[in-house]
Order: sequence, then structure tokens, then C-alpha cells
Amino acid sequence: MTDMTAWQQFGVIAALGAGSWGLRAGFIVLPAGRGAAAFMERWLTHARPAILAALLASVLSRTATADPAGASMATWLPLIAGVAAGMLAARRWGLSGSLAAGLVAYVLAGLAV
Amino acid sequence: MATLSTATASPVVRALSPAATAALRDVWPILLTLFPFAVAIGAAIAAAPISGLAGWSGGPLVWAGSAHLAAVTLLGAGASWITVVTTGLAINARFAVYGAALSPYFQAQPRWFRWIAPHFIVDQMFALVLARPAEERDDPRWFRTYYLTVALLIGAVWMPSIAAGILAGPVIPESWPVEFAAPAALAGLLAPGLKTRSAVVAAIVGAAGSLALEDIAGSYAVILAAVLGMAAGTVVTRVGDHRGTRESEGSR
Repeated sequence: MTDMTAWQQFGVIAALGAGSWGLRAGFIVLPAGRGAAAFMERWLTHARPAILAALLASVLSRTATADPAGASMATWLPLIAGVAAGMLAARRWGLSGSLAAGLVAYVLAGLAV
Repeated sequence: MATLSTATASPVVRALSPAATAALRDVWPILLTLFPFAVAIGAAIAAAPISGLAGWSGGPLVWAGSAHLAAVTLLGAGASWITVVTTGLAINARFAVYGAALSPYFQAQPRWFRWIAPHFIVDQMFALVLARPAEERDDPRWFRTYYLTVALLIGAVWMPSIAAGILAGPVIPESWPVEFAAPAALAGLLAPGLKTRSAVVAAIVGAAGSLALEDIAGSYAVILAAVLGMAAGTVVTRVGDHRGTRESEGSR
């Protein structure tokens, strides 16, 4: 549970938005920074899987703490099975991988609990 | 006659310029995939103990689903502001590379466009723009019209869909597992990106690090684990490059 007020939450979101603009526009407004982007590229390619996996583990771990009896097997397995099934469906019918995997995982995890 | 019809229809003609038409044709399949993702983010906002309006504001202000979802999830879990911002920026760090790659097409643009338009850089925009022929991208007016049409259409679907998810969240029956919207969306975003060995290693180390560091680092565990995952992925890539270089030298 967060201790922040609504205005503080808005401030955090706005700070994230401002920082994101800096990342996007930095190398456009300041072309001299393009070399730094090329230097960082190898690191940045791994940022997305590392962070999403860390977040997913954290969210599922909190679910397991809140509901230790049912959460571990009943959450992880349907999610993994759902993502796999969604990816197969995406490949078979040419759908968006993220969308299909997310939707099937959601349905399976929801049915399992 | 032709002059008259062009004059009377000029707003329509402008709206349906070749660049805008191309943008409409390219973006609509993407809009279909964005809608449920945005609704899932809205449902995650509704399920988290945070202000709905503050949560929704991430749509226009952050303009990136993964970072928005991460921020909402972390805010709901009581993470500090610095963890929320750092994690979100780390997820969005790839936009720096996109910005650098797209910067040649921004150099001939008016100042207002160079300062405002980068805000709309997302994975889909990057992919769509670079999929167009080079001669179209190199035409400043064509690029500007195409880019702004895509951004406008994405925003027209994205913002109301998040709001719909927030509004629908409280009226969804309790038996519906709204709390799984966030992990399912995260899993759905993660899985299609695991195409290389280094990405898989980065994800495994990130997930394991997050669980291992939770008791020690608290709300900073996610960002620390992400740094470990990025480092592991980079090492695997470098080892692969090194091995490839040695093999190509050995075959000479």
C-alpha cells in the first residue's frame, strides 16, 4: 500500500514522463549524444527482458506472500502455460505475440484460482 | 471545376494526403493490439491502491505501456518515488537508441516538431517509420504528416482505453481475477522478446535477482536485479561475439 497522496503519485508519474522525454529527445535535440547511444546499445537491448522479468517475479512473489497456499503453483503454472499457448496461437494465426500471450495467460491464471 | 472541387475539399484532401493515408493503413492493425493492453493497464490501475486520475495520467505523460504498467505496479506496492522513476526510465532506456536512430529525420523539421514529437516515440512508431521507403522518410513534410498521424491515432485509442479499464475495474465482479491483469500483461510483454540466448539469460537473472534481493533491498530489488540481468545478458553477448570471432579466425 502506497503512502503517497494523489498529487505525489501524479508528481512521480510526471517525473517519469519528463525523464522519458529526455531519453527520447536527448539525441534528437543534442545530436552530439548519438555516440553515447551507440555505446549504450548493447546494454539497453537487455534492459527490457531483465526488468520485465524482475517485475513479474516481484509481482508474483507478492501474490504468493498474500496467498501462500494457493498462489505458487496456481499462479505460476497457468501463467507460464498461458504464455506458451498464447505464443503458439500468435505464431499460428499471425497475431501480436504480446497480446495473445498476455490474454491467454490472464484467462488461464484467472480460471486456475 | 477541378480548382473549385480542390478548394472546397482541401481539408479532406489534406487529411487524406498520401502520408496520412499510409499512416492509417499501417497503424490500424497495431491499434487492435493496443486496445486490450491499454484496458489491462487501466484494470491494473483500478486494482492498485492508487489514484485513478494519477494512474491514468501516465498514458499521456509517459506514453509507453511497459513503463506505465511498471510504475503503476510499483506505486501500488508502496515503492519509493526514486524506484518508480528509475525502473520506468530503465525500461524506456531503449527509446534513447530509437531517438538516435530516428534523429536524421528530425534534423530538417521545424523546431516545435523536434522538441514535441520525440515524446511519441514507442516501439510501434519506430518499427512503422523504419518500415517505410527511405525516400518517403527523407521528405520532411511526408515524415511529419506520417509521424503525427500515427501518434494521433495511437493516442486516440490508448487514452480512452486506459480510462475504460479504470472505469470498468470497480464494476467488474469480484470473482473476475482483475489482479492477474498486471502479471499477465507483463508475461505477455516479456515472452515474445526472449528470442536470443542473451535475452533469456537477462530475464532469468533479473527474475532470480528480484526474488533473492527482495528481503535485503526492499523496493530497490527490482532495479538492482534488472542491472544484474542487463550485465548478465551483455556478458553472454560478448562471450558469443568472442567465440564467433575465434571460430571465424580459426576457419581462415
